[in-house]
Amino acid sequence: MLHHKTVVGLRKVGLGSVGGLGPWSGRVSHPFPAPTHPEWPRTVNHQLPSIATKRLHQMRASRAMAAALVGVVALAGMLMSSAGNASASSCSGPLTNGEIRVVLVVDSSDLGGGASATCLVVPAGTTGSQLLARRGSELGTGSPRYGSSGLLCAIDGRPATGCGDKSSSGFGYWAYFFEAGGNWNYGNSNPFTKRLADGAIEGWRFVVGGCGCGQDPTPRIGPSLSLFPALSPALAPAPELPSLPASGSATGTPSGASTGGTTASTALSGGDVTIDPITGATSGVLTSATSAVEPVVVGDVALAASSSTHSTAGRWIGIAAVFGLIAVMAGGAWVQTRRSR
Amino acid sequence: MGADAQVSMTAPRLLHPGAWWLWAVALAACALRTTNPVLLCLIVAVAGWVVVSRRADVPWSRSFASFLRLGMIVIIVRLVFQILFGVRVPGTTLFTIPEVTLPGWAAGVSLGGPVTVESLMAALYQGLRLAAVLACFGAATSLCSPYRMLRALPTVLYEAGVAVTIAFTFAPQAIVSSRQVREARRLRGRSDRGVRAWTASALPVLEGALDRAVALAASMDSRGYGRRGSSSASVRRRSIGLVLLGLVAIAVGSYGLLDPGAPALFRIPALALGAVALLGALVAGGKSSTRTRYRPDPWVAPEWIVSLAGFVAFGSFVIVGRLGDALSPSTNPLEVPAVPFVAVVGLLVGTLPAWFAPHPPTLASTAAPLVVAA
Amino acid sequence: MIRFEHVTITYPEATSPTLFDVSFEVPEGELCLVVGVTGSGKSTLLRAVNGLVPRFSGGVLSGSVVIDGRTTSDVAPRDLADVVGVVGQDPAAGFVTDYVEDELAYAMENLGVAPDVMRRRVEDILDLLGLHELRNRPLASLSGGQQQRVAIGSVLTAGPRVLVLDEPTSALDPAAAEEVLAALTRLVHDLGITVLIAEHRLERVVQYADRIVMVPGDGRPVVVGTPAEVFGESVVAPPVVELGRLAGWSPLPLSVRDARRVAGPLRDQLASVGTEVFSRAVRSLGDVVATTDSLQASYGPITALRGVDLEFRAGEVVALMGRNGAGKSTLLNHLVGLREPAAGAVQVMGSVPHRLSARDVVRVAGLVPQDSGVLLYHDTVAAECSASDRDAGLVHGTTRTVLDRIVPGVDASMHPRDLSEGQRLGLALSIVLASEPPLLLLDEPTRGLDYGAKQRLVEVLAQLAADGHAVVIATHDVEVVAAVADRCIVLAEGEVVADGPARDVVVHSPVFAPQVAKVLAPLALLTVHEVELALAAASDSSYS
Repeated sequence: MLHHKTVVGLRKVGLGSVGGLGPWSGRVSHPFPAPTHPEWPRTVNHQLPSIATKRLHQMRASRAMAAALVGVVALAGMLMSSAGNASASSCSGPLTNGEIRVVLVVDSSDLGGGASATCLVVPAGTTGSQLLARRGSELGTGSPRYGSSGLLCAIDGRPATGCGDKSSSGFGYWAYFFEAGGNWNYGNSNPFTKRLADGAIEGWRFVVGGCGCGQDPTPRIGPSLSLFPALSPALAPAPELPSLPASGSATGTPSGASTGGTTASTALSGGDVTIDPITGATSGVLTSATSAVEPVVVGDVALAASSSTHSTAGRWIGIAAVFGLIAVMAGGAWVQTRRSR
Repeated sequence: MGADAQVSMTAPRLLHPGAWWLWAVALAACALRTTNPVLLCLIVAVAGWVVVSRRADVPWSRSFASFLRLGMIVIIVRLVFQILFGVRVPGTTLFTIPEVTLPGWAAGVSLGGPVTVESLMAALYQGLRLAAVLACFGAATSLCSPYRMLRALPTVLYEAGVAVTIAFTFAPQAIVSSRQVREARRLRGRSDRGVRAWTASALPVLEGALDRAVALAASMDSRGYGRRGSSSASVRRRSIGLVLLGLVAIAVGSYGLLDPGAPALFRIPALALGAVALLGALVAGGKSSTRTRYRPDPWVAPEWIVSLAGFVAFGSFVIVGRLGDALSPSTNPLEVPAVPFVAVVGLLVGTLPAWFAPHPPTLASTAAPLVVAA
Repeated sequence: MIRFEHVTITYPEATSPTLFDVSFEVPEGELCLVVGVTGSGKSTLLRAVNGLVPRFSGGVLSGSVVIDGRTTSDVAPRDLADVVGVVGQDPAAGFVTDYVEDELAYAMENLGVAPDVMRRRVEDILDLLGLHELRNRPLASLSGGQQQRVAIGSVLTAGPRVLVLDEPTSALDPAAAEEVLAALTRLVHDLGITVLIAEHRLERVVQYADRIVMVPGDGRPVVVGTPAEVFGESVVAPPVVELGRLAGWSPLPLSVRDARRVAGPLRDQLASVGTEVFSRAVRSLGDVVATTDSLQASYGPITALRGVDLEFRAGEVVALMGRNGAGKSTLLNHLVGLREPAAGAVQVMGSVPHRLSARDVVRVAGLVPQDSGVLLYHDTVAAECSASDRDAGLVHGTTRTVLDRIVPGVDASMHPRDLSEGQRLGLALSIVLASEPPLLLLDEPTRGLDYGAKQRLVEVLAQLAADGHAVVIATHDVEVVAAVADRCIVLAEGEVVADGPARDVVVHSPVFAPQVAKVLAPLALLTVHEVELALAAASDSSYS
């Protein structure tokens, strides 16, 4: 059902996105999952068990359809070309003037991907959508795909087809969140216009059977400040702070909390970081990607890219043929009109 | 009367209005299912070709061009809105217009900012789709006069008298009226081109069209349109109720068909319910109606061909839609739209009316008295 | 058959009632003529007969209108369709189908007449109104007169017992008008149908009328009576009645035939005066303003003009006459550049009108179209005037000055729609005239004008010609032609069949001759005014 494109749905989404104030109004705080990581990696990857996914589906199946609201929420963007070629400082390295550090959480567990958090250094004034595009290029997962209305269709090539489609259980779409007060907040702003501040945490989660409202589930990685890696020793404000694994995020220490099927708990004490094994109702597995970037769906993206390039020539031929046909018709019509006069 | 059923395939006559409308609505439904610019252009071309081939010498038959012009305006307006207020879709920036920072409560709205090729193409596709739908509607009004459609309506709708008349004739009347206003403007020495001419003549055109529609309704009424006949009030109420139910059910059903997310109940079952209710109303209304037909429009082979041609085109779009994404090419990343072969063939079937519909009677053929086989 | 009882009709937002306390009765089988100056409420009265007023117009009707024993307030117009047939002022606006036959059958379909009966009645009406050659034609391709006949036919097929016609002959050429009126009299005499007609061209209708309802329109009660009674004191009267008043005939003649019987002494008296007295002083003609050179025009397969060669000079008033559909309006449209010639050429002041921009074309040629109201689309007279100045790039106030010269004292704050027919025409005329085009074209300017308004128009046109404009009027109104035209061009089937001094062309035509000329033939006198002058000259010469 997800693959089927809905013209009507698209249009609704489009209208909502142009005019909409309402769509960003749903704002619900969620319990605070606090995954952390032993080594302050740049990317954290969660893999979710499929049973849990199924349950989530059922939970959301009954949610009312609020078509127009969805799209706007899921509006997303790519990195603008101007922002794209900014030199990438390391997230743990020094910031040059006009740079900010932000974390982007992307959760595509429901599509068979994982949940990841990526820290990025970007120019000040970068928008939410630019950040998303920047992440794609850094991870090599390709640019996000957008619908004609500006609705975000796919991140990392997931889902492969469709865009904000509605099924009988609700909408399948990328929901947009941001961190405020240590909680995920349902996107109350437009990713195309929202300017990020230093230390911002942005989240995207693919929701299946969602309502397009603030009740839709949050990313499975919580918006903890601990997602930011520690600054490199040379920059560390206080020499007594631990070096690499230690974090500048000693402030706002979150306590472990649990949601849905996954729990990751963290205990930060002083400079030491330990990771508790996963606990929780379901036997969730936290796969931690320790260090570098781990592209989630490189294969798919590459496939899509190649399929779109190799048929381009054929498409042009088809287009030329159809427009030739149209030209013949127009010519014929013109001749007929002249004759009848 | 019997002789009327034996209509020659080739003799000049007017096709049943229902056939033209079915064909046009089917084409419009095709247009609504796609944002593929190639297919949309082809739809417009198909509609135009059939119009040019089979329109009659009546005032409305020139309205197709006006609908095309209206379509162009829709596209332009859509593009302008995209540039000014559109969502700032990322991509290749063409130019940047000054951005206005809006207060927090309007966080979702963007005003100004970088304008990208991707966003413009998306807007163009959408505008093109609306323009194609307008062209299909224009084709229907050019090919079959609203008068004939009015006469073909079931008797039960007569109760709505004036409203129905105005609804059906307003657009064509506006076209006739706009021609008049344009001429008058020229006589006054005003330019008849340009945006200002358009905006300044909008009000007189609409006013003129409304006046004409009301005058028409008055004329129809004084000539017995909507007479009650012998039916009792309760019979009439029942048939009106059935009509309303049928129309609502069909509206819900059509919406459901266009929206794959709709519950199954709102699709075929709703359509079926609507059809049954309308049939019931027709039967009930038909019994009480005293109306007769002078020369009933026959529904014979050409009518079947025209309406089926529309359905084949629509069917091809449904199939293509099931098979893949060719009906809605991605604009972000921008890709060359695919040309689905099946849809093209389906649309070409849609041009069959240009050959198989009978020619309308022309001035040349009617100037000499016709021998009417009665 | 028709009974009005103390009927008062007030339109919404009107300060005073349009009709006030109207009571009269028309017995079955009579042809009743409704007369009155423009804007006196004739149309309102006619439309009240089957309840279109107030049902479709809004407003309040007090009193009661009883048709065939049924009160219109209780019965909808559609349920009176088998009793009353109404033909409005603009027949084309009332068409409900696209083809002649369908239009004729429409009312019968609604009444549920059996198909074979329908066939028969359609054939009858086609013959009665001479429409059989048009039976399969699209209505839009018909000329005004043909449309008028189809409109009448389309209500006749329903077999109504009352026929209501609003200016049925105003768009018709004299011959077609005769035909329609003859058909109506036949209906009255043979079938006993009651007919109610409103008409400004009394000269055409008066002789057929059994009864006249005069609507004064200024709050005075309506006058009902026989034609002779009513015209004794009426302000509106046809030329033959005016002539009778001038000559002091009693009883007043209503038809040319009556008048000729008593006109012998007058003819003798006038014949003694030299004919040169009768002819109007020939205006000095100026330069050539416009020419057409083998001009051809066609609408689809129908040729409207076939090789027309004409020349119009400054200072002349040219009447363009001819049957409906002869190509008069087409010629005017070409002269003002609304249409492009299919072949041949048009030149106005040395330029080709259809290639000029709108702003330039109004400086060389101005056209007042048949329905002059289409030129007006602002809220107030003042707005129309200033918009006109702006459009043509004139000094502010120019149009208003022209308007004051043509129709003095029009309230600037009035809505153009609320003006009288004559004032509205004057306003349209002054908008066209404001940029002083050397060539002024008027298409059927006297449609809907009463005699007084016509007289003022004639004076204005004569003045414009004297000022050096070339004035071309396309008209069916022979009385206006007689009063103002210097030269008369007759078109037939798109060709010029006569072109010469108006007096020569008009007097010798049985169709186009005005009433006075018919009464006084073979004398070449055209109008009552000329007779007056001639009589004065005759008495002068008898004294000297």
